[in-house]
Amino acid sequence: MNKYSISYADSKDKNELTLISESKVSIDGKEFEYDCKWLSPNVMILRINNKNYYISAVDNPDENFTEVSIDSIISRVICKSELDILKEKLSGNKSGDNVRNDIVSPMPGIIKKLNVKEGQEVKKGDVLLVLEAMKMENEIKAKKDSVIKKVCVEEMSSVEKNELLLMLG
Amino acid sequence: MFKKILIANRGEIAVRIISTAKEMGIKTVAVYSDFDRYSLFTKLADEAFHLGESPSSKSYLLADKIIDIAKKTGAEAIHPGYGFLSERGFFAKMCEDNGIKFIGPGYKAIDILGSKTDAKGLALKNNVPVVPGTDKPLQDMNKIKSIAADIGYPVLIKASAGGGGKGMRVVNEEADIESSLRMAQSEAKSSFGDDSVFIEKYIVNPRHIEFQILADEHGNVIHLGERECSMQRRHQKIIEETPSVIMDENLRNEMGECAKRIVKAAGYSNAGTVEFIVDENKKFYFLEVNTRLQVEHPITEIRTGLDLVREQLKIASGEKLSRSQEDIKFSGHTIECRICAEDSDDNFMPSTGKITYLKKFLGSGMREDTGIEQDDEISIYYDPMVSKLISFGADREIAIDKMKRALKEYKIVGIKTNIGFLLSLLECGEFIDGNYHTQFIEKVFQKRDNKIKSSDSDLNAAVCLASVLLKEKKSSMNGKIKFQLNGKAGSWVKQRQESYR
Repeated sequence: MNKYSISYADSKDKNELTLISESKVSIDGKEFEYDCKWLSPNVMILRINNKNYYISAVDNPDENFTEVSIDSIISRVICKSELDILKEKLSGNKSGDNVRNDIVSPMPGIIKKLNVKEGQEVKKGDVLLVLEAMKMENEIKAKKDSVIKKVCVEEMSSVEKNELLLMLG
Repeated sequence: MFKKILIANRGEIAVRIISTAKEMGIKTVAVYSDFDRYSLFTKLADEAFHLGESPSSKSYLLADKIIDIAKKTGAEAIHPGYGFLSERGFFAKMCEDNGIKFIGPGYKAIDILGSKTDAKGLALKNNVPVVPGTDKPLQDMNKIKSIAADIGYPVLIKASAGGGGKGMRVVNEEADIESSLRMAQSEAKSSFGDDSVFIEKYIVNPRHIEFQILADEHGNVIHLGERECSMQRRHQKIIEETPSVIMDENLRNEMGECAKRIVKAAGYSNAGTVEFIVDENKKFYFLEVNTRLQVEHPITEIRTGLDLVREQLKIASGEKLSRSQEDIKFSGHTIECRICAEDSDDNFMPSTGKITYLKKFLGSGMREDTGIEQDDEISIYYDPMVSKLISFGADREIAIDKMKRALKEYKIVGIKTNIGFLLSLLECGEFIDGNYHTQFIEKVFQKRDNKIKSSDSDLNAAVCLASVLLKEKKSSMNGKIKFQLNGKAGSWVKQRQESYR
């Protein structure tokens, strides 16, 4: 009987889930029959009480959530086992605040414009820099209010995917 | 008719052209970059030749090399598709000089219509209305300021060699003009190598409506009706439909005749598109002519029953148009959605990666023009558009419903796409009422919160259970790998097991 706690990344909704058997699950105390067939490493047909769902589920290790897509609607959920929760408690890690704050390059490209300096305070949504890739200029924005701790690139430098651009604190 | 043609393009449009060529018994030659070595279009073509490295400047823009390959293979004509060399007069001329037919208009028509100022002059001369503005490329800041003041704000700054929304800026008041001009010029310089701009009156809440035309090399021109392309983001079209909800028979005839006059005056042949903007009082103004096949051509094909690539090939081989204006009949309603590799939840950031799963159920009333397959990579080198879905039905409601259904059943894993965003556009009240314009997405549209919530019991159960099953599968796989490693390392685990017997 594996127990899990699932929360949505963009809301406070939380669910307690217990896998009772290979065909029975309890979610927040309510029991469901289910049947699952994997079609590829990330795609499944899931039948829950005979209702069909054609689902893709992909882990996003950078930001620590799973993207579940049903009918092209994407939900971002954080799925933790009992063990995960125990580990977090022991290491004193606070759950919930796991949006990674450093800025890494989402793709290879060129830094067209750098708007920030070290020590500068930025607000959520501020444009930190402009990255040119795929013939388009892309604005990279702050994910939350923070301070620029370190600027790791210069204007017009070319960067690789996942290269650290800015450290924020 | 040609026996063999070369397609100087890639992706879905190369696939599209190859299909029609095959139907007509014409052999095809594909050219490809390093990245596209095994892309779908190279597999479908009869022959495939390597051009160069992945960046388009080192492959799809290498005019000399493309001409050499055409000569070597005996291709009699080159189809340029859209983008890349399709609207470059010099390339059309190179083809002509080398005895190869360019499947498109002659280079003179490309050059006249490719220059926005010449095209505007041509429109004025032929009684086609244009937006008030300058008719000469400008570089001098003071002159630009005084002209902007004469026209009256808001004004639009456009790169004279521009396209696709690059080098374009709206200026609402004089205080902003210097900084906007500098940005427009720097974009224009880096994209087109030419920083001259021109200025025009900015039309508030305009619709973008364009007319497809066909012109043969014997002076006959017809139009194939309009396409409404007002659903745009950052000047990039994302949903197109025909007919336009604001169109009536009189307006269609009037705009269609204007479109025909302008291409006739330019000495144009082959397929082309005359773009207009239409204001809130249905007053229309000539914008520009795209001297090539458009991305959104399928919706015209479906509404007229014609194959535009087939018409292009017939015209290029010297045939007369087989239909007169009266022969063109329109039926039903058609919509196209452009599926792009971009993350609409993160500022439309382009998304790259390997497509690990790709399945769709097109079903009745749907067509897909695509260049990608499962296991393909999406790269940074080319346009993020990966596929076009086209729906059709007897009326607009049917076409919308079919498109929504097909988008919901489009499963693509490995890259992020704008499918969710397209769905929310199709479902918004303004789109359903046909009440939208080119500024709609940026200025009006509020993306509805289509997230699943805990209160939605069944869907919530599916989301939660799916995430748990993925985690369970991963941890059981990790377990297996560990066990196998132990097995390989050999003896210790085995010995322990045996000693317990």
